[in-house]
Amino acid sequence: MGLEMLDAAGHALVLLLDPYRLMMLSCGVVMGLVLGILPGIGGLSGTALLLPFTFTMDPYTAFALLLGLASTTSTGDPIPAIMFGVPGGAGSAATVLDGLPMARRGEAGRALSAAYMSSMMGGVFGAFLMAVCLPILRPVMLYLGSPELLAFSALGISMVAVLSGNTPLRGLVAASLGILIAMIGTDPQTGTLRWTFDFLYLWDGVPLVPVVLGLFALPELCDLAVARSSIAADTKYNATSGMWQGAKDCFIHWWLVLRCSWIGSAFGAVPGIGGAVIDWLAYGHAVRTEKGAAQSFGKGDVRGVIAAESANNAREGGALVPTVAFGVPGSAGMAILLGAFLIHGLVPGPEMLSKHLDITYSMVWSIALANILGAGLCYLFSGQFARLATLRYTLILPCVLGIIYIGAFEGSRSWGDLFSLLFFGVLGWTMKQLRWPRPPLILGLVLGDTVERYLFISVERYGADWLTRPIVVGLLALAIYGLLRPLIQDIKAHGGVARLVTGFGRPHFRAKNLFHVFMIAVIGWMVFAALDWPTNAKIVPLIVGSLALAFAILGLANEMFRPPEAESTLADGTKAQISDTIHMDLESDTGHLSTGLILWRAAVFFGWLVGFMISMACIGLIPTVPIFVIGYMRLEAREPWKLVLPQAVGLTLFIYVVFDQLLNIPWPQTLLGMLVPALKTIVPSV
Amino acid sequence: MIRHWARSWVTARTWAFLFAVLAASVGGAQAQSYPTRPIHLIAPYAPGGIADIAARLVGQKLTEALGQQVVVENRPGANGFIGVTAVTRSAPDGHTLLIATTGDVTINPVLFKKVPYDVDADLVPITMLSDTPTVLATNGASPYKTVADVIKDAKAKPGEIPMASPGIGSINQLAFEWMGLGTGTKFLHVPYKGGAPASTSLAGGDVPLGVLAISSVNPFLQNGRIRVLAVTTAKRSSFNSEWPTLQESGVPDVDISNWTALMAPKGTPPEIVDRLQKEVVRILAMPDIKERFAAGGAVTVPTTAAELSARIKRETAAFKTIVEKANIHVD
Repeated sequence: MGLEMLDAAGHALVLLLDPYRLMMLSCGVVMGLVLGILPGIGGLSGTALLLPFTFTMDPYTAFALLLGLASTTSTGDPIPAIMFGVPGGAGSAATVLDGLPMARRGEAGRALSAAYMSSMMGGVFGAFLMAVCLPILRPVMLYLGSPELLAFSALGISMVAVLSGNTPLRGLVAASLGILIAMIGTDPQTGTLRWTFDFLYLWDGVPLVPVVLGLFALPELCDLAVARSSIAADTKYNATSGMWQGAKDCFIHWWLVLRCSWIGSAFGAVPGIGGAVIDWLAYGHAVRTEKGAAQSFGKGDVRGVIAAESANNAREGGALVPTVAFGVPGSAGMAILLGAFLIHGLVPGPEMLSKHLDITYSMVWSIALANILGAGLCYLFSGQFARLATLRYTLILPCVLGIIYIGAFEGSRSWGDLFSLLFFGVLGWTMKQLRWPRPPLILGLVLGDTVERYLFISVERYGADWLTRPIVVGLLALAIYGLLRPLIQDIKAHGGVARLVTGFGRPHFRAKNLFHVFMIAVIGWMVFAALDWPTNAKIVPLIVGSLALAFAILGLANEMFRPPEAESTLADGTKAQISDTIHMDLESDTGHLSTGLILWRAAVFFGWLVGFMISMACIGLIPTVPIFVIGYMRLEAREPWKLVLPQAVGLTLFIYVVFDQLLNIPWPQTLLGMLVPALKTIVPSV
Repeated sequence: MIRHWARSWVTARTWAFLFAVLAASVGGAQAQSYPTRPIHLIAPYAPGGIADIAARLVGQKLTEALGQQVVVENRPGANGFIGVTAVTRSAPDGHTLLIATTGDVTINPVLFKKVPYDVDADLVPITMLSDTPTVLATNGASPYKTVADVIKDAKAKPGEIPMASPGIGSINQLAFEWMGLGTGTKFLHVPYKGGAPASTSLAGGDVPLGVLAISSVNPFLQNGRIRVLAVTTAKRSSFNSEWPTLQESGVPDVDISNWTALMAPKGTPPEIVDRLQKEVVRILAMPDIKERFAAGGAVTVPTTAAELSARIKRETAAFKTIVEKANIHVD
């Protein structure tokens, strides 16, 4: 077996090194990078766009082109994440946590370099792992039934404990809310429409992209507008030396890279666990295992960037496993790849490991080479990227916001995406300001759906017997340990359960407790609305909802009735320990401003977003872009026309060519288009 | 020498590729009458499925035939409601067309209480495109050797034998409900999220039975992980003519499959519908197109508009009875 495999692997490499195939691979890589850098625009639309061109290619070339694109979008993703705190894709939200503080410190070069290098190492490692494991994986994966997949998801959710940092109760509420949001839409068991308010948009649940962009991108941009500054205030650092340092970091922490790549490939191979949580799982793992991580992560520790980025590039290798072995797409991009399989007459399954082994290995090589090529290209242009962080906010915001809108719209190409973006933007900003951790919400949102689905199949099929399957027992034990250990530590640090339930004082209600009340009201309403549903449709929402209510009420009581000075009776050592554990989220750097001013400026910021949407509804997105750019730059900061006009024209042209002409995004209907249909053929997007 | 050869070859191919991308994006501007601008072919499902593949295969050939770019737009969501509604609401000028499937036009209208479109009043048929038979399949290690074995066991344990499908309200579910009505049996429905996960579970032994597309079970047929007991259509499948039909196996009436068809918004000028029908029927007869559909487990089915219309009416009526009798509820 060994020799035969090596032979096929070698043969596949020779085939792939053909100049035409390399050329196509590079084409894919360049497109992947560009799409990756644009916030929210993932590889999905790009892959769908390229699919027809592969019909006439041979399979090696076709997969080189498609995989070149699919594997490098996550190499481009960290660039906006580090530079603006805007994740370039759902998979790099965790990169923001340490990447942005590094950029603020003037270490953008180092962070970028560490991101590329770990992306590359992770990607190559993921491909390698897949190459080695392929022959044995098929029987193993067939053994993994719904109960095992359920246990995998539960293990993922247990990471909430770590990702909640020093606010476990708030983390649990956020995670439960995420799970509840995941259950919006058609219930898979009974077809009941859950919390859809008669909107067709909500039938399939809230799409992930607008949620991630809203939760993580808008709050950073809003704070930038509130602080009225640039991301990095000082520019005294040297980009080149930072680049060196970043690459060196990856080699110093090679063991972390390896572990996180393993996490990325393993979870990437589980269908239903998408890129949006893999980075958080790796990040949580690093927090738990790296020395001193609990103190320095989230404050610009390069290991945080390395952990997230090596995992999300390793994912694609893992996602290829179920695709090739069973035809079960491991990710959305892989679903399109399956389409290419059919077109080329390839059947996923044992044939791919025998008759078509060389094609399979050419795919592995494509992923590996694409990762190396992608990282190389990024290095080439990085000097320019690193400078972006020093620009004034009025120069950056209009461009980034315009593209975020289109990115969110790509979620399901409907107006609902824009409302989701705005809603989760306000929610995310509020959570950030009040120090509620946002990562657990994403974790709950992605994994909640999977857990419910697999839970039903497991129970329906096996009754309670599924709990005795060995892999399930192992994984669930790990999950429970992972969930309880930080909680127990936390309780111990507070002086045991007795201390937690005593020491209550007079109630004192502060304005920020309103958010607790808001959460209780929303979750309470959701539970109430669920009461009428059929049993199978309401059981999980009711359990999760009740737990969430309990956590939220406990949290509120804790903050209202416990006098702040209660903690001062703790031993000094314990106090230090508590304040040492990090808040698992970014800190706002707007602390020097008064609350009133912050609220006013934030309202102005979100007002601009609402204005953008109104204008888009009236005259279409493309005509709105130049108006928005000019309006924002002139009104917010009186930027000189010689800066305003080129940016307005440039951005509009860019959006027109890339999104209207190349990606053929179907723009929503506009008021103007309905009144004067003739304009539709003249002005794009009307 | 070699390098020179390689370079010129690369350049030639590069230019060809770039030109193709450019031509595809800008589109031909030479046509004077219909089509005057790019045609949008709306597939109400995500990329990768049969509706998407049908759209892309036919779309590419239509581009060549009409001299205008045919753009495939995936508008997935809400059981196809979003995509179909987008078509029914667009201008009936032949520039927006729908890739309809069995589910959109024959099942949804009888399954859901509120349907945002009326197939008869909002859409005009052009032609059928493809037909993908589904099969009743079993895990390789299960004791079921024939359909009769399954029926016998199901009669002994009504409502207890798990039956996998790609989702609630799918044609696959209707197939086994139909089978149950005719034979007096009932199965325990286990809906998955799509055909591929359902097949993997069937192959792994998570569920003993399933009604699935041939393309979904295909990866597991060779090594015997999954065995096909019967096809759900009235005629045997060209994919493997040894498989019996359900009707031959003693299940009365069942004739159900997953087909795709080309439709347009109501009010589209008859001459445009006519032209499209002729072009697409010609395309469906092309050997390379037939081959590509066959690779996906589908056959091409060129028809007249009237034939498509009749089939929709016939199937809608049949499914209405099944949904009512089997008491299938979707909100």
